[in-house]
Amino acid sequence: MHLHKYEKVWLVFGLGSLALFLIIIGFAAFWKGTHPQSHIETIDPQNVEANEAFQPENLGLTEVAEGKYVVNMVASAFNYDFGKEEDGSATKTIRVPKGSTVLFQITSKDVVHGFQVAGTNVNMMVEPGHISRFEAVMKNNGEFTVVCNEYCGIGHHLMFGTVEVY
Amino acid sequence: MASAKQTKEDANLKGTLIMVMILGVIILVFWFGIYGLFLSR
Repeated sequence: MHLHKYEKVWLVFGLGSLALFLIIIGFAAFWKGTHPQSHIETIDPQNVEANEAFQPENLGLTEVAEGKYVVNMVASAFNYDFGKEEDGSATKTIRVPKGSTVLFQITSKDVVHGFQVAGTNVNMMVEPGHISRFEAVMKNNGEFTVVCNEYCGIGHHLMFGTVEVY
Repeated sequence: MASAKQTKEDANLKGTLIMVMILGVIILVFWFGIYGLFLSR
């Protein structure tokens, strides 16, 4: 088979780019731990309290080690349960220091919801019967709005919260 | 359309090469731009 020399140039260029992208994605997946948010870990959506992480007293932000935090949340139409403040009111803002590593753990009691911390890489689907997890390093200061990005019903637009990185 | 007489040897592919390279560079710039955005947030 005869190839024009220009054809060889763009074949090498195209295959080279493809190989480069695959190597970078492979590195991210196998060495840096970039993977889907659901780990096929199931939970009974009618009884999320059976899992220790989603018991009412364990919801919200917990510091587990120096600079390491866990946030447990339960999504339901049309609210994110981030736990309670000391005065008993519902928490609407999660405050973490800059540079901390935060593991977000969330599940749904009813329908499919979304959990996106807009402006960061934290973005997951929240499915009833599954636990979604995403660990992120909060690199940038600011107030980030949490939004439900899966249409979940009439009050979908009322589902929001805030993550503040200080 | 190239004439039936013209062989592959003398087909002029310069314009094709330039277009392919422009598209290739656009794809590379976008790919690394988006990956950079992912890494920085």
